[in-house]
Amino acid sequence: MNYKITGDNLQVVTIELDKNDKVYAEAGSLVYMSPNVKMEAKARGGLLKAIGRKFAGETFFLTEFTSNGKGLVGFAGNAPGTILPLEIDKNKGFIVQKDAFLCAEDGVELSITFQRRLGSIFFGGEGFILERLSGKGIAFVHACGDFIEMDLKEGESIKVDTGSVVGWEESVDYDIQRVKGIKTIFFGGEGLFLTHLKGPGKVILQSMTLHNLAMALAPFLPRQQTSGRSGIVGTFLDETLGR
Amino acid sequence: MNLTKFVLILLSLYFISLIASFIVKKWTLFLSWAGIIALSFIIFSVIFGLFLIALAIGYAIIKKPVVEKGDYRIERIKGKGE
Repeated sequence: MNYKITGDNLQVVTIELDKNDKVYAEAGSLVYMSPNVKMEAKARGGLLKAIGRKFAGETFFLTEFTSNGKGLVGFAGNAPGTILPLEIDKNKGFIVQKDAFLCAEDGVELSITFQRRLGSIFFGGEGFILERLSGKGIAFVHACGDFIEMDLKEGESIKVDTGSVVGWEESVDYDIQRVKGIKTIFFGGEGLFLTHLKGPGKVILQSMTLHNLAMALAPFLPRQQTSGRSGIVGTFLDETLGR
Repeated sequence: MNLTKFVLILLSLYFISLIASFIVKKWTLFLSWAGIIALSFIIFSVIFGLFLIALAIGYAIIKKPVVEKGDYRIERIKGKGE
């Protein structure tokens, strides 16, 4: 399967499909497709898996795209960020954060998985329910910010700000670790815990979470006016006066 | 930690809240069934908050920070398009 990721911070992945090739994607992520591609919404995996997907922040229905000849189909995420292709192997499943799945080849299975440790659930920053990518093929994940990839060797570890982990191989151990020192806990800005990822395996981190982006933008968003102009006249005056 | 254990923890916390609500009903006598349910949710949120604080303290004690040894070089970091 050929694909091309274009754009910088609002990326689109275009997948080239051969005749009868099939990809599936999160509902609503389509940007464009060639006219020889058939689109069909399906509750892949049955009712229970579809309900599970809903808990993982995905859509109940996934959209399948089948090509009737050489065709193109393009997908994009729902926030400024990066798209990353992941090679999924039968021995190399991947766990990604909620809502990270964008699209995948037909051979890739999307399911939900749970955090194993109580501490990771409440203080790890990724929540209880996660997405699991297994099977064989290429899957594309999308998350806010830019990505940093790192291959951890056996026994190696990395400490990450909670919530900044996009995904990790199943062989990676996901845990939390306390920040050292009372002063650092209260004034360090990272909180009480950091996420501790221990190899072997690949980890993907993000430069900014959607939550952090929203918090950074919040002070600049226009507030609803309690008094003043409204309606057609108000809009006209606002536009005329440039407000 | 699997789904069953997680649900069991939440259910047991709610069960405690429900018992507490019944005790309140026994003392006050004027609470309706809807009132008991509403009160149990309020108590549950308080107990759950306390549970989270206790858990944070517990994990802060257990999950001590460790400065590990290792050789981490910038060449190992891959960014966009690499």
